[in-house]
Amino acid sequence: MTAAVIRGLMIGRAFLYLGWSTAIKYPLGFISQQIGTLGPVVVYFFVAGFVESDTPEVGGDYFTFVMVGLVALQTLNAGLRALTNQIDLAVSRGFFETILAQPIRWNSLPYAMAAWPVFNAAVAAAVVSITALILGATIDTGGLATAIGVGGLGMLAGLAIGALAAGVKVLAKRGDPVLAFYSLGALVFSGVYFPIDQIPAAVRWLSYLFVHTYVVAGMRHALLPLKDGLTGPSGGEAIAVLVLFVVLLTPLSIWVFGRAMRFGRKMGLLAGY
Amino acid sequence: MIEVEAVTKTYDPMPRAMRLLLRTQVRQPVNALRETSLRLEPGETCVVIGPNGAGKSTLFRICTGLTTPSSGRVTVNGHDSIKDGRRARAHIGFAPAEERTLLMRHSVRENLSFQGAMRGMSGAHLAKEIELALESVGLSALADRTVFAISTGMRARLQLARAILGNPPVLVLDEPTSAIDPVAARDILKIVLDVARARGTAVLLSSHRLEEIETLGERMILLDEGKTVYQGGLESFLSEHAGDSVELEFQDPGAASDALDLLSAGNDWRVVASHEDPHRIVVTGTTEVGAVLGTLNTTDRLVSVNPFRPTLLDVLATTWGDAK
Repeated sequence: MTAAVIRGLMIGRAFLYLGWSTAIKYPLGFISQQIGTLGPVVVYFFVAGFVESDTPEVGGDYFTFVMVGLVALQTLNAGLRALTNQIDLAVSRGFFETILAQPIRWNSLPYAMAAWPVFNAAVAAAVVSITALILGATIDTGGLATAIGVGGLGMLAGLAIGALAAGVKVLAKRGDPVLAFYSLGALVFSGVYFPIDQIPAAVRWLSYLFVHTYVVAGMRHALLPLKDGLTGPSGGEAIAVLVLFVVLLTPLSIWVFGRAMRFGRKMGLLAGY
Repeated sequence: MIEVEAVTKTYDPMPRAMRLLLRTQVRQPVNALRETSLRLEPGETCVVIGPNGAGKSTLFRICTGLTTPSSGRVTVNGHDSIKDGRRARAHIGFAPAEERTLLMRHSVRENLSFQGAMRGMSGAHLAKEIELALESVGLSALADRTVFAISTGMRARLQLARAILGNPPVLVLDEPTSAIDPVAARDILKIVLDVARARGTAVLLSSHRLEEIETLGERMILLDEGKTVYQGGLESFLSEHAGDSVELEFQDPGAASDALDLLSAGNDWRVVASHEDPHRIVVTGTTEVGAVLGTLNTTDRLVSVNPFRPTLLDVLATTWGDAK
């Protein structure tokens, strides 16, 4: 392992500990945040009872269909939002400048700063999954490894998109213009709440531009008991496309983030807020 | 060793396409720093002074690699602060002006631990360096207290501890005593000087405190609107800029004001109103009382004429005024 990687891991560990130690200093806030992630599970448990859908389009069980989508969304959003949220926090609390003045590679910040929120989201996704199973979600355990692979790659792709957005964020300071547009598109086109074949055929191709589509469809194909009626890419196809996303987006996002930092440094914008 | 070589910084307006992201107040290029140069050897301390907006923070940000100079360069132990920024930053301990850069809900030790990890330290080595830093700034007894619960003076010490952690050869301290009382400030300054002496650290710090400027007066750089107005020792600064002066006292502030207008026009000397007493004005750059009095229309309302040794504040006020 090279010295640079070890150094990067050490910095990631420091941010992980910082996030954890900050979270537990506000115990009630931390607990309520964790409980809050279970809210949609309970809501959709009752909605599923009302809808009573077991059609092949939802993999034989609407509740499991939505739960898998929810976990996929949680996993992805953790990657997407982690860095911009952390930069927001560091800038508003005033320690971003102190971090930048340290002998670290600025390009390593997107992944190091995201360490705690990503870890936190992974744990939350596991808790949601277990709760959903307790409430009656039925999964194909044979597809668990594929689903974890899809989720992991989805998180990495989300982090890459998040780093692209963070490049804009360090200059724009407020708001997430990139993520706002991306999330809006993903919400409509990626089939989290309804199958993508419900989208008009003329714009359905847009679905395939969003990482969400592959993560949601890939995880559903891997985990839902009935696969015949499911639309979108299968688990294997999703993994192949997500690997491509990660391989292309990761270096691009690191490059864009680095360029944005250099531009911010030139304009004197790095320390402001 | 830190070397600032003819550094100029001009803040340009945001390019049009970028204004959609962020609108700034900069409409015209702003010259924040012009051809500033200095060189600090190990163990040397230099105080940077100047009014607000003089360019001090810009100079410090360039030294720490947080801002790119428009021209010139800064090297820290031979490493360019921009081109080789990471290595340059490894040789700098930086304390920003604001205490909110500290992790307020964490303990003193946790703050140093995070800083140490950022600087590549870990395990027993980091623990040892933390103890050393805490001892140097007199914070050992408060190591496990939450930063939020300690006094502002102690937080200033923690800022300093964070900067000296790992014994960097250069310290850049942006107004390290701005928020604390004079006695606590004196203690901080003593620690800084002790560290510089004991560890051979080059220290670049900014200050608005006159007593600090006098203590650190061996080496100072005076900035105003980005220009280096003076660089050198305090004594030579005072003898160069204070010059010979006379103070005129009048019966009323109106007479003092009229005299100030009259004397300000077309003479070699400089005239300023006393900042302590509106009845008085100070004429600097001459002891020829006859010439001064001759310039006045009347001496009816003049109460006294005395030789005057300006204070550092008087000289700074005059110098900043001249620079404008």
